[in-house]
Amino acid sequence: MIIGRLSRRMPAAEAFLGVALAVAVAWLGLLPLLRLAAAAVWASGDVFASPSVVRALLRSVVTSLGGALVALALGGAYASVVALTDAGARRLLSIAALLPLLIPAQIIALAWMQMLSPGGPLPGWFGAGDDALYSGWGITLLLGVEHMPIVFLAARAALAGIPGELIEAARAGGARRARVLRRIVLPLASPGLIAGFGLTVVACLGSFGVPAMLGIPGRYPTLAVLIYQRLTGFGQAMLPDAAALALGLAILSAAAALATGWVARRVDAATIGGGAGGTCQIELGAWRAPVTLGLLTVSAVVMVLPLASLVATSVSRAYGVPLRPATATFDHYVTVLHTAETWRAFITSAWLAGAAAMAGVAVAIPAALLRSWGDRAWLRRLIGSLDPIIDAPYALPGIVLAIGMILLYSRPLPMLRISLYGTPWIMLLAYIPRFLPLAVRPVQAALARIDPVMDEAARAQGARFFRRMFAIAVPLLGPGAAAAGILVLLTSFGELTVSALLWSPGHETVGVLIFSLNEGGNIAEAAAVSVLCLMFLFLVAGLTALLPASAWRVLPWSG
Amino acid sequence: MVGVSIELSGVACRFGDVRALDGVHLRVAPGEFLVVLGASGCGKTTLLRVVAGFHRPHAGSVRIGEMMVASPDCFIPPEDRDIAIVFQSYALWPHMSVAGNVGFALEQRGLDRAGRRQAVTQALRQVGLEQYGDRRPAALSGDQRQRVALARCMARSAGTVLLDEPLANLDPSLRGAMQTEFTAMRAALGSTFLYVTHDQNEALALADRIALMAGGRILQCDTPRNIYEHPASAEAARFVGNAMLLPAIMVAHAIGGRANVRVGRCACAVRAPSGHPPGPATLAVRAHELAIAPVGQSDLLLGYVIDVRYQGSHWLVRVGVGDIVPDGLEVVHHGEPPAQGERVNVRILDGWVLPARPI
Repeated sequence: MIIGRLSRRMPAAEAFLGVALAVAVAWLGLLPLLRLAAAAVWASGDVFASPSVVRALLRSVVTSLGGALVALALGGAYASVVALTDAGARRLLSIAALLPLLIPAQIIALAWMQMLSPGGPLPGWFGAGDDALYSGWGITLLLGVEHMPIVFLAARAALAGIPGELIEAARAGGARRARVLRRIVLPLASPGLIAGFGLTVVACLGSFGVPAMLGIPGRYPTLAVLIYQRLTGFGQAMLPDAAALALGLAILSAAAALATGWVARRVDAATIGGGAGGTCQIELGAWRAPVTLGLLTVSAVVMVLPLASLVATSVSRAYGVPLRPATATFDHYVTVLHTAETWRAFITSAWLAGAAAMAGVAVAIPAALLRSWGDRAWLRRLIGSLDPIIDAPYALPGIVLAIGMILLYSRPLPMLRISLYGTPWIMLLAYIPRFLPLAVRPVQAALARIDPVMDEAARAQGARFFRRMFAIAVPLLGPGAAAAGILVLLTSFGELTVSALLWSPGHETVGVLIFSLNEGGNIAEAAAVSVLCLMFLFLVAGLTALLPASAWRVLPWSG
Repeated sequence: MVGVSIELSGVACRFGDVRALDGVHLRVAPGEFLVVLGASGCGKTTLLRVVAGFHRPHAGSVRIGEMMVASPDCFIPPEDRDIAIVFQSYALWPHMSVAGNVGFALEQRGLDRAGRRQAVTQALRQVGLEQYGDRRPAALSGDQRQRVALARCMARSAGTVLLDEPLANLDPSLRGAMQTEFTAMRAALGSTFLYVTHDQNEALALADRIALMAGGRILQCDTPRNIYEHPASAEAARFVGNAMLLPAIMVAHAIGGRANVRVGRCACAVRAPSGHPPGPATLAVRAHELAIAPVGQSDLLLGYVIDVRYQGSHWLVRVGVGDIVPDGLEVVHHGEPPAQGERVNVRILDGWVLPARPI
């Protein structure tokens, strides 16, 4: 009521809110990038001339392209089986393909390291020595595993979106399965496949967890890792050079993203009519069981066995000692749970992730409302123009945002005379823009599913913007917004890329803790903390089963 | 291409608990144009998809020409059935040119490039789109897309042509022209046509025979004229031509296809099936078979005007006639209409006595 009366006195409340949102988003997301670009101008121009930088850049490009190819093969295989065939256990296959989304990259890397370690179930690539993992090949493979869900989601959406009648028309024209796939399905799905591949290349370029865990010991630093090494090794003096390198990486990523969009648009033949999609189903016949079993075996080797090895390491008496009931021990868990650092890390990560989730939803709801239901055209355009600013901190390498934050906040704030650098607040200010798109997109999708008539009816009853927002939009969006918040929470809890540069003693995050335990050689303890982290993530993911089904439909993996 | 026969016997098709087809028997003669007519949800599209091979029937058998294509122990997939389909959405492949769409099925046949181009050009010429071969479907208008779909279907020159509501997505103004196109296509191909629609005007205009469907069954299968003039059941009469059903008494046996009946106090001579016994009967009349007459004639129905609606070429007058027809009678009227509430007589010019048992 109070809000209703308030907004009646301020007819421009809507405009005020919109401008405030735009300023906040620009301050959080755009300012660090601009600051980074400004700093890069002062860097000595020859940073890119150094052979180690050129090598790192090439390594980034090679592992990213390779990783995207691995992801395309894995995600594409799962997506075509799930979307196009009548294979058994398709729901389970979907979950298997999406599992890497839930697992922080450094834990995937640590788990694979355990699987291939001398005492692990697949010691050293069947005898080739586990050095093979600490190499460009290993990084490429694990980048592929880590990003498989991106390709899976894009490919599944593309394949399931092909109108069934287009397939039926080809079959009525006498085309058999192989020809239907080659001439109809593949060309129609290719924009989605290309987009999935391109997004994966961009994500791999900015990836930090896998290349850092494998590339630092393997002396195979990619550009992101090289920047991190130089900053942590030489400190603030390196900032301008690091900024220049990060800007180069950002430009490379942005170019890859733009090129992807351009190519995908070029090959996109927008379907006209054609009824609902998803009616294409290939009968596998005798191949039904083998196909399902084959993909489940791939999942077992790629995800389940590494995670099992991780658990095994966490309960092994000593590193490399084969695990038997007699040698199993919970000592490492006892140790890490008796360490104040572990508790601190979990609490820091939990509140950072929770705050980032709440801030994200708090921005996402009014932004979506002003954009879709607002009646001021300039305001709709203003909010719409924020899209690239919202996406950039997520799409660009995390290290770019992190260096921008250091540059912005390492000196005391003007007038307040307090410095955010060295406090956890700088991490929060980075987490919010970093994960904002994960809240904004699902909330937009949820709003698109609500008939605008709901809002118009309230408006006809005389309700002003804020009253409509709290009385109509928020309750209707509630489940979808909750799902979006949980998505942010799950993704940011194990975050490493941004925290690795912004953490300060006493305020480690879980990602940083695992990374530094592993770096310090405390593998078993790193494994124990990883298992605890995964238990927390699986628990939160499991809790979302309590949300209504409608909430799930807005999440990227629904369908 | 010579058309082939299509024969369905006892075909049943279920989706969960819904019986989309419930024991359908139907025989389409070689070269015949058969229209399956019914309201949405009556099972007509399922029937078409069973013939095409996109659904496998749960019972019964389907035979196309000499080939048994679906039965409890055999099933031939669509790609081996020698059929051509026009979908309601046209289902043009957006990533191929118009010529690519039309020529797709020909590549299969092992036709060389020149032969294919000639066949494609000929098919496109028949629908008046010769110069559009290089365009993408997205660059065409609705009726042009429809024509491409027809050309694709013609180029395939299959023994059986299946059409699923092909005019439903077109502007009404274009439908007449496209109907002419179908007639030309049929003359050019000589194939057997199975055409599914919910539009009775389309059905009456195009069909050699109409199969009227409701609830997964075929109510009546006959020539358009017989379906319209001699509906076999109350549902058939109501669905085609919107007949009103009046309780009547047959005075004597029908002679020469006509009989004298009484409706209330009104006596009239109407069409009737031979063999219908005298006594109670149901008379199906359409609005144009009734006429408004001035009051004062004792052998006509007496009522009052409920409302009057202008239809352009005539007026539609609804006359309340007491308990004979609770909703009142709709009467076509030319000239100045009577006023609302005015008392009028209604004359029955003609009608059809529904058969006592389905003929």
